[in-house]
Amino acid sequence: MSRKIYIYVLASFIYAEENPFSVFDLDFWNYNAGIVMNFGDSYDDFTYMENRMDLNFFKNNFSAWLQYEYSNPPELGFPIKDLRKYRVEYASGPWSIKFGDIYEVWGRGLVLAQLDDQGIDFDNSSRGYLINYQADRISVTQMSGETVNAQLGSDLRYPEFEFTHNIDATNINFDAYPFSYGLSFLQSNELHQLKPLGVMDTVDINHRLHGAYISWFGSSMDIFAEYVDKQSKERTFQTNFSGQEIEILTPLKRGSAFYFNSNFYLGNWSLFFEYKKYSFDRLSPVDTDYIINNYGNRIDYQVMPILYREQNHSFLGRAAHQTNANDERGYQIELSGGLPNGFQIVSQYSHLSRNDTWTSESPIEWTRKKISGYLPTDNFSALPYKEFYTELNGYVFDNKLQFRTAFGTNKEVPKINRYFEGFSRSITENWQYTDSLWYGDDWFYLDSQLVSIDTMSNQIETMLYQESKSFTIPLDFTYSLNNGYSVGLGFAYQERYKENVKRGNAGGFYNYADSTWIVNDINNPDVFDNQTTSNYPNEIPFQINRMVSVSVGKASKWAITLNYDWTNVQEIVTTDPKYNPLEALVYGDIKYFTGDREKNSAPSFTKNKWVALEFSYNLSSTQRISFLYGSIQGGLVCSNGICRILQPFNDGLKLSYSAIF
Amino acid sequence: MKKIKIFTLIFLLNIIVVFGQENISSGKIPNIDLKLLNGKKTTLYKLLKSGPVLLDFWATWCKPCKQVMKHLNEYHNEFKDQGFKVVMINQDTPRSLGKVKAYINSKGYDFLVSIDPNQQISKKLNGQIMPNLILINQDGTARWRHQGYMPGEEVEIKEQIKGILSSKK
Repeated sequence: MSRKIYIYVLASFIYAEENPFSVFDLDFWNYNAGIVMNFGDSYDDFTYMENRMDLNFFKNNFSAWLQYEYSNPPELGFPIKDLRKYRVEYASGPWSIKFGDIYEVWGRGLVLAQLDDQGIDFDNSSRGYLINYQADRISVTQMSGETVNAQLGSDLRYPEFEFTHNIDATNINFDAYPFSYGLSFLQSNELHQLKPLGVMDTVDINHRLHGAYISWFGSSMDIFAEYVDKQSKERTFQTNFSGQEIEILTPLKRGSAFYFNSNFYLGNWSLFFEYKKYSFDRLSPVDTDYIINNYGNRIDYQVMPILYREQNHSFLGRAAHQTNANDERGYQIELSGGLPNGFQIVSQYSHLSRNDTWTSESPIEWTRKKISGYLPTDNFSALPYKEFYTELNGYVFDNKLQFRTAFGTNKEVPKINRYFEGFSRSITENWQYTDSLWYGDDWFYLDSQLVSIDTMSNQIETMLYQESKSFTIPLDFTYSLNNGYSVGLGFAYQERYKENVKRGNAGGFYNYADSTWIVNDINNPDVFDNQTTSNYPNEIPFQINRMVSVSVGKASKWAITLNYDWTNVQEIVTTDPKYNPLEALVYGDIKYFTGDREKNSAPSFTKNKWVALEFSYNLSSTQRISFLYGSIQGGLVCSNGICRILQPFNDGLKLSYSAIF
Repeated sequence: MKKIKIFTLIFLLNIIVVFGQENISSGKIPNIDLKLLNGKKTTLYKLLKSGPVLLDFWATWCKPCKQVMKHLNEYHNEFKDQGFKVVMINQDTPRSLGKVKAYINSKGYDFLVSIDPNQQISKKLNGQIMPNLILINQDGTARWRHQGYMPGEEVEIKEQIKGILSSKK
């Protein structure tokens, strides 16, 4: 902390030309500030308090940014009661220098994209320095620093793992309009934690990334392409005869990624196309993108395009695909255009899959076969994902009524437990016994022993995988009245399920999940092994979700919104701890208010339903406060391709306040 | 209960501080580099040479941001002869950055669009809550700020633009 203050004060003193102490006078600076405060307390012990204050100071070529946080605990992540972020910047002519928390994005993030997304507790900034030289056409950036990335484990709120990166990175960008070219290099020494926090079990990894990108801008189209090559090596240290410590690098993994984006324009119509092929680590389907024990692959600095629609409706977000940045290929096409009367139509299609199809030799041994060509496949063993979304939006009734009608559907194979296809054996065992006796209701065999084993050849095909499908219809209407009031109505309907699909020729005792197929040893046909798979993955029965929201607002003053969310079956079953007055009011339950209803246990008719009322008030044009009372369904929340399961919020109060000045 | 007390205390202190600042101009906005959607670059101060500028932060997934954009485009076209410009600063990350230009083109918007994928500009100007409007005088000082959007607020936005243009004369 003291070092940060020294930097800040030193820079301030150096800059103060007349009176060094004038830097402590607010009139000396141009400044702005922002405050965000969030507080929540619910009956299911979901309590948080998150306060952040951002301060920016400017004076000619000098600027500074400070962010103080008092969060104990925050909604997600570790408690902080300290200066969370700081940065000082100085620019002179073509040179600029930054100390502190650095956020950089190069190209489309295949090498480096540093972001702060508090909604999912993601922050990959590096604390260090950055030097940039920018002439007319060329820009050279060199940066160095340290990042500590927290990773959630089994706990839904507190991270259990930390990955520390020390990075050195360089970017050269050359602009020759309409072309732009870039070269990037990043090296990171990572201390990767293998066991939950508090247990010292780590591995040292060296990552090296070399990337290049190009863009071209035309009047009716534009193009962007980026490629990165990445290799990782495990670092170990040995002491030689003279007592010097020597670093030994052992090759670990090597991969690459390619991304292409093009837009075509014709009048008010745009055709958007993007393609990706990410191949940093081809993990078997049972390993998926689990990063704790599978290290040396993509690192958190690589925040790359996801190639499916980033949804802004909670239902569509819950059904979203969780991207696999280590091993995924695919494309996305979106056509959007203006129709008469100011209407806009958007139609989007996305198809993704792994780079390989997989077959299981045994429950833990998988072999892959490369997909031919460049496009994704529909083969279930490559975990395909398909998405279609179309939307019509616009204004009617003299621009008084704004509407959005949409339809979204997707289909995915998120898990595969078993896929065996080929020649194998089943077993018949013969037992011998010397005597038997009848006791109770059963025979007991004495001195039994296995005397022979017969095997039978079988042509086997057994598949067990999970398939999820959903379709969602979100509708939004907002009607503006002449006196500044507006009324909003939102409705969403969703059908969704996840089911286990069993295909093949197994039957009877030999089921698909706990299969007892006798698996041949490929190298030695006379040797066979008896293996069983794991259990079936959890299914979600046919789920129907509905949401209604009604809002009334007065421009620049206040807005009140009632949100009603219900489902027929919960993905993660939770218990409503209390029957609150808002629920009683919405259900018209007079007994609650006459004292004839038990309030500490929710009645059955409130099951699988969440009601929340939010009131927001603009204290001024730069200050806003809101209160939310009620319950919010937990579950999957996706932001930018990263999904987290959020814990539900039942019968509680949320307060939030934001201000800028 | 202790947390509620702390929250209330901090909240009240903020109200006092912020209301105390209500009549104070937040000072000069720093000169920021703007990377435009067509690949060209400019700076805020270059744009201010011809007249006042309204900055707004937005993202393709932000519903109220899209609602206010329609009105901001109208004001950009209505007052551009007086040197006024609207500059929309996009906050999409590289994950969805490719769609920004297609969206703007399909809507037929004429205002300037700058991209800020690492939220560098947004952090400097406290634009994290979207939409977030900053009306900037030609001398680089912030005249008016507004966060969020509710239907009907476009009337106040227009009044503020008219006000800054009339004081320019």
